[in-house]
Amino acid sequence: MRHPLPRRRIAGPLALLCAAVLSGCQFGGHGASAAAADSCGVQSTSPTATAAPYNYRLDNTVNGPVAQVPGARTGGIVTVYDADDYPHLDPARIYLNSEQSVAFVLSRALTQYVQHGTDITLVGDLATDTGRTTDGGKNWTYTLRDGVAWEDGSPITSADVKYGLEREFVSGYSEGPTYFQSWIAGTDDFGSVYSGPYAGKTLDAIATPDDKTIVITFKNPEPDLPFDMALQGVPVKASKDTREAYDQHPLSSGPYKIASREIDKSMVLVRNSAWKPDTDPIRTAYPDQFVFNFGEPELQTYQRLIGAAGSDATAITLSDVVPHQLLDQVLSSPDLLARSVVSVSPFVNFESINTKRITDVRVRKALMYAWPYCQLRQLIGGADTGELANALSSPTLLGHADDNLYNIPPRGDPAMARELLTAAGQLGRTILVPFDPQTELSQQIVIIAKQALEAAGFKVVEKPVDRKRQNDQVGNPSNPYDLYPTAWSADWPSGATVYPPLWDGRLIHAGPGNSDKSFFDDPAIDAEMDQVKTIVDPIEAGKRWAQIDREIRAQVPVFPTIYFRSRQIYGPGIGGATFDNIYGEISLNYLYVKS
Amino acid sequence: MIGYLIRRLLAAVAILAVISAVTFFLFFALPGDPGRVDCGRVCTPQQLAAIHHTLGLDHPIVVQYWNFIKGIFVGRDYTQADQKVHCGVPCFGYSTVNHQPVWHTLIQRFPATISLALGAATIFLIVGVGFGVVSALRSQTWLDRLGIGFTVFGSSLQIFVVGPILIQLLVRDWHVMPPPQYVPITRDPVGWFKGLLLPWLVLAMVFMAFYARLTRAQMLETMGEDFIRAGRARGVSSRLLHFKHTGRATLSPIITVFGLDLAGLLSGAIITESTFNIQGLGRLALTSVQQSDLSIMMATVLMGAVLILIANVIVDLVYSVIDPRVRASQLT
Repeated sequence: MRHPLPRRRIAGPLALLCAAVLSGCQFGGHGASAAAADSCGVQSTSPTATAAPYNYRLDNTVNGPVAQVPGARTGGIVTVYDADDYPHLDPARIYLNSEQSVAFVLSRALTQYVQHGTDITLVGDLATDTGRTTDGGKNWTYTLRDGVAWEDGSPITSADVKYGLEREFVSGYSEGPTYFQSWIAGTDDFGSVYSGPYAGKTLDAIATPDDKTIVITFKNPEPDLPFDMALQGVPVKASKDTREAYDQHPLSSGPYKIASREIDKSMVLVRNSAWKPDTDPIRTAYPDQFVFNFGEPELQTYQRLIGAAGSDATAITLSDVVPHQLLDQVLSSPDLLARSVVSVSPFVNFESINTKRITDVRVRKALMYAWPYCQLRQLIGGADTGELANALSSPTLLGHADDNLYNIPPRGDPAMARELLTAAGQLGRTILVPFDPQTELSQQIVIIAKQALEAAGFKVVEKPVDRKRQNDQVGNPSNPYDLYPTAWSADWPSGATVYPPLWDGRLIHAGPGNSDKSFFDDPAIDAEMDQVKTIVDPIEAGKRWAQIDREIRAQVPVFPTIYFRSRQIYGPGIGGATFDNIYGEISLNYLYVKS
Repeated sequence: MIGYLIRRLLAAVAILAVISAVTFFLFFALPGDPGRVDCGRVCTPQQLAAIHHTLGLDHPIVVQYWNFIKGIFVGRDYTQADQKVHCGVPCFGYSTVNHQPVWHTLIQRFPATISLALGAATIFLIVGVGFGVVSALRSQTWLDRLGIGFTVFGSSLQIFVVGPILIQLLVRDWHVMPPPQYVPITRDPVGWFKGLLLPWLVLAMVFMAFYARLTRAQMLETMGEDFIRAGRARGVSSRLLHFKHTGRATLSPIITVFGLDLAGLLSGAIITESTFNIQGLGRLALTSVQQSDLSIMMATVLMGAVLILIANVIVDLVYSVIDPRVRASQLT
């Protein structure tokens, strides 16, 4: 089912934990390490992904074709099993990570990421570079590469890019991101400014002086545009825009096109002969086909991948992570470990404290000190599920700094929590927490959290609330709860897609639907965020976002708990499997079928 | 007979109206806002209001229900991507999750469910009744105990337990069965049979015991009737006695139960379809509830109700063929 947090699909332990309430999560990097004791004192013998530093850069000199992956060969069929079909493939409606992973091979964007482990480079995809600005980000110019074409053989033009961007404004395509629309309109209520191309109007802010040039003009400087164009800068050919039906069968500009699709059942991607490798600096396209099958629960999918019989030998799963029932089997098998990818997820999970109810920062700190970090991690699967977190951002975020502001013992510090509570004169304060009564794990988490908080001097009252209803309730500023989990991932590796949506107090509105579930409202931090959003240099901006992270944590509207890892395995006949750090799952890009 | 049929059909319509209304109104007691599915990550109140308007969720529930019912009989117009789209009769609306016309989705899923239901029903009817007949004819012998014991053992197993175990053992470890899957019979008849064999057997196992016990009990009771004893005394052959006279009397309750079971399976074997990843109506119904997809939920519930009602009518008609007493009462 589609997760109530629309950006990306949350799977595995994270899903359990977040569904369960009273928890926090994040994920961890690519690679292998030897046995080591982690922060909970647990000896880890499995290949882990520590919170490795990610090296980001923008490169405007990269051209196609991509260098050959050693040992890779062209041909073969990769089978993909996923529990759920991808709800959207229309570029204007895509938002989930699985949708983006598939769109990566179907729909080229103006910019895109080249990833080699923790080295992540934003490069021009359809465009020759990541965008040019001479005025701090108000005006941006893109030039399309030579030879880029649609699957029908026609050239991709600047008019197609303009039309694709204009489509983002259509109210019926509300599932997708809204950064570009808000930037163009200068307001979040962008629909009142422009409603898309179907009404016959065009956007003057997007100029196309010739077939290859796109000039975009914003009301304010928007230095993150190069990143956003990897997400939203996807062209659509107006004459092939089938509107609602486009969602099922978009016109391809990537190395593959859709040969067949049965919603919720299957999809087959075959080579797009109009795609030319020398126009593409990112994609490899080794397999002849990708055959997707939907509907099988992740446990069965992993049993398939472990068994690896027949066509399952060259199978993967895009979205499903190793279920906790099979984790021990995977971790104890050298064969399975050898064919697994593991990495930090871009998701961050933390406990949100309702600051409208708990106004005393000492009480909020007491909650943070009392939290049983290691005990809960053990409950959801142990050391392989991730490392304890210090920051609010994922290690995949540009500028992420895992600085330990409070030095809280990994098993919590009930004595310090009690001291804080006593100082605040609120010893015995009641904390109301929601939990999902239909999930056994949720109940177990509540028990452990309750024990820990009550040991510190709180009185915990747990209230059973259905998970779907809970998401609506905790997004309402008048909700009666004190503590609940929130999950978030960056849309691109910049704090601009994390801190403002989550902690800009000016965005808080009455009723459900708030992203700022702690209802944190600090005008000084709002002003600082406005300032950082105008910094053109992403490295410098990253440092400033890390500072804001620290300042928010100092007021404890939330506290982070775990950087989660995501582990997936693939069939033994698959080569080139890597983890996509942007989408948080196995990458389709470098895969090949072994001979 | 025609009058009887008309009466039954009118009653069926009334029942369907009640079922549809109850389901529709109960949906709104479920948690979750269907509009949130289509709203982006930063979902502003304006965006949510616009989505509610597009989906018609801004109308009173009674109006929404009326529009839904009207759509089934006269079709409806929807706005999708700033474009009016007509949903033809029978219009069950559009799924808020996969954005497909519901009727189209149902039609796509129905062949898998029919294949599963008919295959399993054939097995459990033949084997179950067969075991029952043998047990009755060899009552109190080891054959009786073995047959009934086997079927009871089978039915006491849960599909969601035995299914994955059999998949692991028979398919993955021992490679003696093909992997369960649904392949359309029109595309690959052999693949269709092989893919459904394991789901058929597991599903049939659950029903088999009931038919065996029912058949056995009915046959034993009938075999003790006066007219059977009289027939035997007059020298009627055992074959004629068992398969014509006893069989006919045994058949009535079996047909009743079979009609309802088959209709239930045709409206979706939720657990079996989920266990074996068969994309049929049962799985569709389950996911519609999980995803708060009202249109799909309504359609699957109504389709199940229609099938059960049709099965009831057919069973009653078949009764009248088998039993003249029933025919006489229907005509009055």
